[in-house]
Amino acid sequence: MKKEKFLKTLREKLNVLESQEVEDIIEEYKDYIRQKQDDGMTEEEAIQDFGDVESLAKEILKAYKINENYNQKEETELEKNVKNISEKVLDFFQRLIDTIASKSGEEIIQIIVKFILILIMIGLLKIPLYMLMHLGFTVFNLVPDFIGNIFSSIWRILFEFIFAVISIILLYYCTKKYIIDDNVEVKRNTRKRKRSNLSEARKPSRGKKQEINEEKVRDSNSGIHILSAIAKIFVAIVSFPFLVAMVGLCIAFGILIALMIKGIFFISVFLILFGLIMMTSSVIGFLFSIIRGLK
Amino acid sequence: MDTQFKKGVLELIVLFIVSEKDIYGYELVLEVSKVLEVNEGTIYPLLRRLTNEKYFETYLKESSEGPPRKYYHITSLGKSRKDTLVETWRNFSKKVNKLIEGEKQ
Repeated sequence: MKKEKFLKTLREKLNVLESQEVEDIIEEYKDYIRQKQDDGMTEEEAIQDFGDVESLAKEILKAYKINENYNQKEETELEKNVKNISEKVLDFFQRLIDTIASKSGEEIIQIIVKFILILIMIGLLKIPLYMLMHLGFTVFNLVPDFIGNIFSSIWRILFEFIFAVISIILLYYCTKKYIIDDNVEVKRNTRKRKRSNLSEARKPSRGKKQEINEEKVRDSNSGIHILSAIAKIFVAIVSFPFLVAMVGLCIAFGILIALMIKGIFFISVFLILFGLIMMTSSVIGFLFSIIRGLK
Repeated sequence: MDTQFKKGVLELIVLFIVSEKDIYGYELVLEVSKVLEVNEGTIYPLLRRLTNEKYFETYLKESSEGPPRKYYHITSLGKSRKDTLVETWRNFSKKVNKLIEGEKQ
């Protein structure tokens, strides 16, 4: 390293000190280098003897009873907090995607059901909040129009905000607890593995558990990962109305059969229902096979 | 030689050398190297620390080989510090030697 660069770096790392102090120190080291050159060393050698600039600066700072890590990028409390939170959020979504990408079709349905239950629960929470809110409204309505309106709006905004915050927090924690599977460990890998992954996924399913375990161990590309996770969610959600329709159709079918036992026949309705049931089940079967295929 | 030992004893050595005569930076490094092999990156900051703690005073002295050099001179505070460290070292090495010598029997 050249003398100028060395001194410049040293000066930077010592900038937490008073500038007069820094200049003194730099002068001192210039001196040391000179003294060594007088002794016959080259500039390079003289500087090498000091060792690593970073460690040197740390040692120097020790003399001032300064936290030697001060010089490293000092983050304000706010910056630290923002960093923490964004890391947590990213990690949360990453794990969510990992969990979903590694589950089979049936488990995905379970996940969706759990998710809907969580949403329902959060929705139920809104009821007491709403009651409080309306209580406030009735109070404000007693106050002359204009002022009452302002208060009402503020009141409402406050409640909506509180509710939004609470629901996000609840969503986060419930998802974390019930949905995200921390045992899923997916290794990230290069694009070379992409092809082999896709072809392996098309293999006919052996034991389900065996397959799932294999995939958990297998390396996968995170791009494909996210895509397949999204696709799976999408398909699973799309199949939901069909499932519901299926349930309705079965009920109707059941009623028809009950009627038939009683002796009332509705042949045409019967046939239509039958056809619809066949159709719905084949659609659902198709969607499920897509989910499986996406693994 | 072990770094742990060196760290502990370096202050003693530096104080001792400066107490013998006023000395400038690089000369001190040379003197210390006669006793121990140490990284300069440790000695120079140590000099600064000991100066900050008022064990040393510095002054500039004209030199025949170029610009004036900064010399280190031990203060009375530094002298008592040196005496304490020497005493500590004597006790310490005595006990350790006793243990080691005891093994030979």
